Amino acid sequence: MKADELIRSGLLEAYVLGQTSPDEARLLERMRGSEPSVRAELEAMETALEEQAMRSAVAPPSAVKAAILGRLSQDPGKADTPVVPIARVQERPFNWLAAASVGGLLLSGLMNFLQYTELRDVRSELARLENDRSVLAEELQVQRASFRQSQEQLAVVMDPRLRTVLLNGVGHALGSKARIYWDKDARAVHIDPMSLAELPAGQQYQLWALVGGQPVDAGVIAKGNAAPALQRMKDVPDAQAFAVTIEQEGGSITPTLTAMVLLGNV
Amino acid sequence: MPANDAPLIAAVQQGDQHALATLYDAYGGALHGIILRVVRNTDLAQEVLQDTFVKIWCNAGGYDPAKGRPFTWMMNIARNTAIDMVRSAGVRHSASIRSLDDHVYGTGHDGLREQMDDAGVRDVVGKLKPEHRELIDMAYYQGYSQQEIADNTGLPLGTVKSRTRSALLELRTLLKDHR
Repeated sequence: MKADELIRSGLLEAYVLGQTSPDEARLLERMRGSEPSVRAELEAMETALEEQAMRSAVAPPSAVKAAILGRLSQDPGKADTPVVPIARVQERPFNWLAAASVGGLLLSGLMNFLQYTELRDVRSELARLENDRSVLAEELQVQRASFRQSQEQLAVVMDPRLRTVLLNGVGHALGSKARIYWDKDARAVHIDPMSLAELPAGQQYQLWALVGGQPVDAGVIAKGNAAPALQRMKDVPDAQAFAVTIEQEGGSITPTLTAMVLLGNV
Repeated sequence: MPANDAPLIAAVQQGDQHALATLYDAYGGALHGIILRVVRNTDLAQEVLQDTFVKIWCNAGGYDPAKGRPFTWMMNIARNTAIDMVRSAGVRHSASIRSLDDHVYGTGHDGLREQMDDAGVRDVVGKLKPEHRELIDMAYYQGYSQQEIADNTGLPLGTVKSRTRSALLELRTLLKDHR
C-alpha cells in the first residue's frame, strides 16, 4: 500500500484511536518507520489527541498521587519487565535491610552455635575440674590427718618430761622390741610397737603396767596397716615395769602370763 | 509533549520514582480526564488512574519510541485500563450507546459533571459536529471497534471509516484555531 493511499484509508485514524487489529498495527508501525509522510500524519494526530487530552484535563485529588507512590513502595516489582536491572535492586533500601537482617540472623545463629559449643566445653571442663578438686580435697584431708598425727607423735617423742622404757622380747619372742613413752605427770602412755610380729586373727597384743607387783590393764595394741606408729594407751599413774602379752582379740581382764612376749623395767 | 519525556520513561524503567512523580504531575490530569470520560464515575476513575500509573511503572520497559509518542503510549494504557474496568464492571451498555452529550455534557452525575464542566470549557471535542463527536466518543472513550460502531449506529463500515477520518481532521483544525 502506498503512503498516501494508507493516509486516506482511515487506517491511521483507527490506529491512533486504538481500533486496529494487531496485524494492522504492525503494518502501520512498519510504515511509520519507513514512510516520513505516514510518520508525520500519525504524529499530527497523536499530537492532536494529546492536546485535546491536555485541554480536557481534570485534576485528580492529591490523595491519588500519594496512593500511587505508596503502591510503588509497597510493590515496586516490575513483574512484566523481562529483565530487572541490578541498579533497581541495589537502590531499594529495604532490600539492604532484608539482606542485613538475613545476614544478621545467620550470624546470630552461628554465634549461638559457637557459644553453645563453647558453653558445653566449658561445662565439661568445669565438671572435670570439680572432680579433680574434690579428689585433691580428700587427699588433703588425709594428708592433714596424717600430718597432725605425725606432729602429735613428734611432740610426744620430743617432750623432755617423757620417760622412755625399752621392752625386750622374752621366751620365743626373744629379739622383739618395743618402746614406751610415758609422761608420768600427765600419766599419758604411748607405745611404739617397733618389731612385734604379726598376730593371727583372734589374737591381739595387750599392754600391762605392773603396779605394786600387780598387773594393770593399759590397753590393747592396734593391729594392721592402719595402726599408727605411736599409739596412745590407757593412762598409767605409776608403774615399776611394763609387759606385753598375747591375748584374745579385744584384750583380757587378767594377763596370760605364759604368753608374755615383752618386758621392761622402768 | 516535550522532547524530554522519553528519557523520563527510561528513568521510570530504571526504577526512578521521582521520574514517575514528574510524569504524574505533568500528565495525571490529562489521563484522569480521559479516564473520567470512559468510566463516568469519580471513584472508579481515581482507581483506574492509580492502576494506570502502576502499569506505567511496571511496563516502562515496553515503551518503544519508534511506535509513537510517550504520551500516546501512556494514554493508551489509561484508555485500555479504563475500558477494561468498565467492561469487567458490566457498565457497558451495548444495547444503547450513549453519547458524550448524555453523559458528559448532559445528564451525567452531578459531581462528575462539575469536574467535567471545568474541562469542557477548553474541551474541543464538545465543539465537534455532533456526528463527529459521537464517533470520537464511541471509538476513543468507549473502545468500540469500527465494525461495532457500524453495527450500533446502522452506518455502513466505509462511512464509519471516512467519518472517523473527518472527525479527527476537524479536531486538528479546531485545536489549531483555539491555539
